[in-house]
Amino acid sequence: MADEPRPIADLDAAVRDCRTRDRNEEGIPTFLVLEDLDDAVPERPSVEGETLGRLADEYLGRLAGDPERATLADVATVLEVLGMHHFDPGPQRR
Amino acid sequence: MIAASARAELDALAGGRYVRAINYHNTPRRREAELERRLRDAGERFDAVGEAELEALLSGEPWAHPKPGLIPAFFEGYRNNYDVALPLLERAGLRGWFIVPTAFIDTPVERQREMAVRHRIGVTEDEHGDGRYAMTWDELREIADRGHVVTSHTASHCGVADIATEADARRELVDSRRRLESELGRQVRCFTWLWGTPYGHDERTDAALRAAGYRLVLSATKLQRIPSA
Repeated sequence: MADEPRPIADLDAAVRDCRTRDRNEEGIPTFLVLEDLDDAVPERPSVEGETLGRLADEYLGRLAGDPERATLADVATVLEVLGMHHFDPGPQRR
Repeated sequence: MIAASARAELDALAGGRYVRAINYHNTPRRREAELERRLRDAGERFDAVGEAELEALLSGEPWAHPKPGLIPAFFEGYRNNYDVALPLLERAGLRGWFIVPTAFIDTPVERQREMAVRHRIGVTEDEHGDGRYAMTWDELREIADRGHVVTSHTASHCGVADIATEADARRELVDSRRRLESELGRQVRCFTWLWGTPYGHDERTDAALRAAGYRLVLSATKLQRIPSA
């Protein structure tokens, strides 16, 4: 992972930043999970993956109150927040 | 609510089943320097992902490149993606995924701005002063011939909720795929709904996607290989 995978302290600010970006002109980094509906994609455990999964779980819990009640929009936001903070913050935010 | 799916997506992340993506729309010339820095940086840190690499990942094969994979995705088929982003992408050694509503490409130049506004396609200023906002088929064909991925984003940039009849499904799913295949001279297997709705959200449109022959769905949160019809 490009950046130190520490949890985001101010998740509300990170979500606000994510939601107010100019999507028409600014690239939005995110993670896309892989799913094969015929056969399960084998796991490839890694420190990075475990960290991302743990952070996503935590962020989704904070955002939706409970990961089990999360909406598609919540999941997309969390993946984008992870993208912005742990993979590509964008040239003006480095 | 998609609680079960949310859990599955967290598990997929933890299990290392993911790729990175950057989703772009307009890439105007006035932001070229910023885009160049960003793509150059991405090219140094990540490797290109084409459909073959994606299929390998979905089949459980290990990632065969030294750097992690990245999908730079360009939505809507904007002219400035061809003019500005394409050369920068190639200089950075990346492969773009161009996700195109075919009716935008087919709309006569004098009606493109109106069509874009009507169909929720964001536009910027008219950079060339000639009213053309979309790529031409020749430009899109060149992009595909240069090894980038071109996929369907419906015909008219519509979402699941806009498909009310079989005729809607045929026009938006089947005809858009056929149009791309006929113009590009290659198979089109990947599809994206407006708003990035995943497969599995609506049985009726899922069946239409299968019947139309798509095998991959790129959504806001995942890349899915779907069952064949």
